[in-house]
Amino acid sequence: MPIKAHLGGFGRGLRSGIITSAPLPLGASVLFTALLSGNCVFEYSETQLGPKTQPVPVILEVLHGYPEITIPADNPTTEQGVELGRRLFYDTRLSADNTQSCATCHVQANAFSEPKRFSLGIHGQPGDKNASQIVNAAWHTRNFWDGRVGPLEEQALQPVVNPLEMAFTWTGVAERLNHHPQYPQWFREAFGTHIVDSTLVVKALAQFQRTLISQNSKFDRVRRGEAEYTKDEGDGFRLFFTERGDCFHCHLAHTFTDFDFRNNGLDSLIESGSGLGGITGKLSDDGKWKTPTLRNVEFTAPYMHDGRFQTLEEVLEHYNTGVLASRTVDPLVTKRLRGEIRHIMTEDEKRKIIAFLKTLSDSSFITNPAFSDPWK
Amino acid sequence: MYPYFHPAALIFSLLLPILISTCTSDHGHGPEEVATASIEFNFVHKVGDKPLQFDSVFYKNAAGNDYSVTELRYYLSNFTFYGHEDEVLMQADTVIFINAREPESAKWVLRKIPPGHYHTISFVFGLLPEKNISMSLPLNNETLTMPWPDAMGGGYHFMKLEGRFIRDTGDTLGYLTHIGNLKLEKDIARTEAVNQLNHFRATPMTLHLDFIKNITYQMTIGMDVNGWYSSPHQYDFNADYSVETMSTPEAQNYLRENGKKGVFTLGKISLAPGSTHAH
Repeated sequence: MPIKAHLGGFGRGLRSGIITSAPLPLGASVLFTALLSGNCVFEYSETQLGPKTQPVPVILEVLHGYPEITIPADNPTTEQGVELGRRLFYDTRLSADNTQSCATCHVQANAFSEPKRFSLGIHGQPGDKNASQIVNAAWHTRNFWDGRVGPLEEQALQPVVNPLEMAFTWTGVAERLNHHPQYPQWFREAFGTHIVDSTLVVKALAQFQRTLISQNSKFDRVRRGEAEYTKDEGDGFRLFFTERGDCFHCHLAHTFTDFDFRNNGLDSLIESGSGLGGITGKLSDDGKWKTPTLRNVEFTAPYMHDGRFQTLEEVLEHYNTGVLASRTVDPLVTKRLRGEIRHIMTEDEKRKIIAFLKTLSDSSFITNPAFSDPWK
Repeated sequence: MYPYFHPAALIFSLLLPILISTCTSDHGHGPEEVATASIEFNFVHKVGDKPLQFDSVFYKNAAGNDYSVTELRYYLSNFTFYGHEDEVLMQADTVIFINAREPESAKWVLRKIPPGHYHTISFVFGLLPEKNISMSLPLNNETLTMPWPDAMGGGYHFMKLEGRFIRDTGDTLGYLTHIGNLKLEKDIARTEAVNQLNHFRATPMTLHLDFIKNITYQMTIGMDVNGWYSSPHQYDFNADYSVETMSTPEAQNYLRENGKKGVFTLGKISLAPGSTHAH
């Protein structure tokens, strides 16, 4: 039974054809036949596409101190899906002018975060948020700083069509990938069909992002008994996990996020409809942004949803003396608004907390070849 | 709170002791069927006599603080049923987690209650020490924030009650009423070590009820949020002890004693819809 492939726009006006032999790799054959026939619809034989194989399941490890991962039932993680997702993540074909990929703003060396305060889209316009890091993303059930979407599959739909980002269309992406000499075969290996559409692209992207797991920091090695903290790191650990530093209520061991949304006192005037409030419509959610994980925080500057702080020292000083009262400021960060000197951290204490924060760096994560650009 | 959270109370294990009455199935074969009663618990939260409303409503406590509530999560465990002479008739070795913002998590069904007369019921607020072990309870997005750091003794927050209050000076600040077992080493800031157990057993509440097999009962247990701040200790959010409650033994002591005195009450008991004594 032939399988129809939609190769919209390629060689308009020519007739469709059936490929009955496969002397060339699939992509090359498609290209050759498309040039001859040119209709938007191609038909492949099963012989041409080769035997269907079952994708190999990938079991994502449940990390110590993490809840169970919720993976959509219609998008199980597979080796083929992950590899396809990796190719797509680094592929500039997803942007209108072929200049930007997901990795343009989510840089592996920066723990898949954006080192610039605001990313520039393909037309050079800045956004107004610092692109989030992608670290242990499999556990995040709401995505974007304001939580506007659910699973990673939903998240991946947005940047491609955002006019301030990749400014493209999903039809355009599908057309490009369907014309690619290899993508149809890669999609067939991952999903059993070579017909590329937005649903499968975001599924593959989500599968790849779920494998971006960081669990080999010094913090992890100390927990496993494989390393020891220095004096400063150990002191910082105790400050972090007691009410003196009081970081742990939002940045929990071992996730270093609570996956929740909070107003951490950055501004005194809270706009109606800002942050989570813009999604839920509740006034009490205005000005709340997603708590980022601190895993690899050393690599993810600048900090906060709007990237306003360049250094960890600035971040610590914000929580020490810079929190501003507002109608939705989180009760967890207002202790020092009492103005009592005994609650203010010393320079030495802040330095030690930062020493501990740097034990959350996982160099194997930012250099892992399995997460790197496959096109290089 | 956001609607994506996982539902409901957590039932980790159920140990049923003695006094299980059984009967065979109507057909006289197959597995034995246990003829027991069930209770659908409904946990309700109020401030004084008003239903608790999160975020926007300000209440007044005994110290005169005007305060709102933004979060209320807690553990109850070890539900125990007693006879007339305070003998233990049944004990459910179960830990339940309640997020007061989530109506579904404020319900819990206890099954397999042996028929018989029960005089009182009680439960543990928080966790018994043998259950209060770090990382021993399942984690989900609702319970994720409940662990109590090992640096302060480990285990779990028994309760996180948070909100805002209007300070003496007129500005609005947050308060954190966090209760758990506190263990601190002697150090520069502390002249002696602290090892404080802050779980408690709620005063037994009168049931005086015959549980009949195959009947499901509905039972309401109420928490008065103001009770945490009233008696015997008037708890003031302006006071020093309320700033860092977790590591302040005085605050933990006040909250534990207030909790014992008058936070939980047994409300209405009724038959569940569809349950009749004709069974």
